[in-house]
Amino acid sequence: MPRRKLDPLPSAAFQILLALSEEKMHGYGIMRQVESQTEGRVRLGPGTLYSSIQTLLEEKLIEEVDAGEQEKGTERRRYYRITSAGRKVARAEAERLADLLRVARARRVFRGEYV
Amino acid sequence: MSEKLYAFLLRLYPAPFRKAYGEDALQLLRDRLRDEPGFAGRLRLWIDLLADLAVSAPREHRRVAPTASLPAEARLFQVLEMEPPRPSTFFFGGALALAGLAAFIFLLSYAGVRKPFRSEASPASQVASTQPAGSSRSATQLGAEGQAQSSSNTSEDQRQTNRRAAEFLLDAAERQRVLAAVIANVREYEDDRAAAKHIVASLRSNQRSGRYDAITSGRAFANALNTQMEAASPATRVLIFYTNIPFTSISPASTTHPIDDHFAISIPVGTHSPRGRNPAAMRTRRA
Repeated sequence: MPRRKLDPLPSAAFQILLALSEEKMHGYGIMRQVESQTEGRVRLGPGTLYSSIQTLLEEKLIEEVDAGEQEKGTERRRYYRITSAGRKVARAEAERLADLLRVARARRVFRGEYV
Repeated sequence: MSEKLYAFLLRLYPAPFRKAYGEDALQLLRDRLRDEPGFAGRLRLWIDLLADLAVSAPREHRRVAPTASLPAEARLFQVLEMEPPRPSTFFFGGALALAGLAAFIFLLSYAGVRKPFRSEASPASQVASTQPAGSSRSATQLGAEGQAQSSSNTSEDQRQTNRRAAEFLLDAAERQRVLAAVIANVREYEDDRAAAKHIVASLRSNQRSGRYDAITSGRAFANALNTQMEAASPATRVLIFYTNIPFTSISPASTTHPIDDHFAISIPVGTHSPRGRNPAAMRTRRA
């Protein structure tokens, strides 16, 4: 049984799934969304971004969709949206991180505002 | 400028990745250039790009590209990777390897390995004998000159040697030098002094009568000298050799002493100079 490429889920792929969880986006939009949701700590470069997008497409966790009315008449961009499988993977990853967070809290790793 | 430079750097990614996402990556760069003006923005942009390039380009080369985006040759290798080779594959691979090995051994055995000259196989036969027909002396050496010329040996050195030999023609001065050296050697090494005197007289008589004047072939000249010596004294053991390969290129047998570049005199084993002179000193001297 070949090992899945996204097991464990890389941080960049998880960030992209989270960015696409609400609406479809093009590459630059995803990059800005990730930057925003990480408060500027993560800025995905083109190589990492499109490499992750390619892997997510192959694993059918996201899919390419039409640009729709909003991009007609401007540069042609490829839009992506999360699939139901992608949502499940994102949820599983979030739960795994939540479990880790509970353990960290139980071990009193956090201090101050994080507690 | 930045876009051109980054387009060049995109060449560091695998071709399938460039084909699929190269334009999107350039579009993202254009978006960032538009949204992040100023020196600080450009500096941060390029730091991000270079760091991203350093991390993602090697990863893209390592990753197994999807079949659909790979060229046909790459898909072939992917099939080999995913499926075990069939028995026929091993059979044909083994047959091909054996054929290659056989070809290699054949080439090692035959290609570029020249057959030795007959004259190289035995130092004693390096000098071509020019015995009179029917003579029992050195009969096995007869014809070595022609064989040496027609040998299939193709090494460059021997081609050059043969070329030099082919250019050698006997002139009157050369005939005179050789004849003088032969007479001196006969006088020196022929045990039978009366026979030596008879041989020398016969050779000089032929020279005076112009019998050798038309001979330009070294082999023919040596043949004529040997015939004359044997006619004058059948028991003589002194023998004239001619070779079209100059003695500067080959080493004559120990009992054969060069008297010229192409002529040598054979001194049979056991024959000693009555005057104790070195045979090498009897060589002809060119003007």
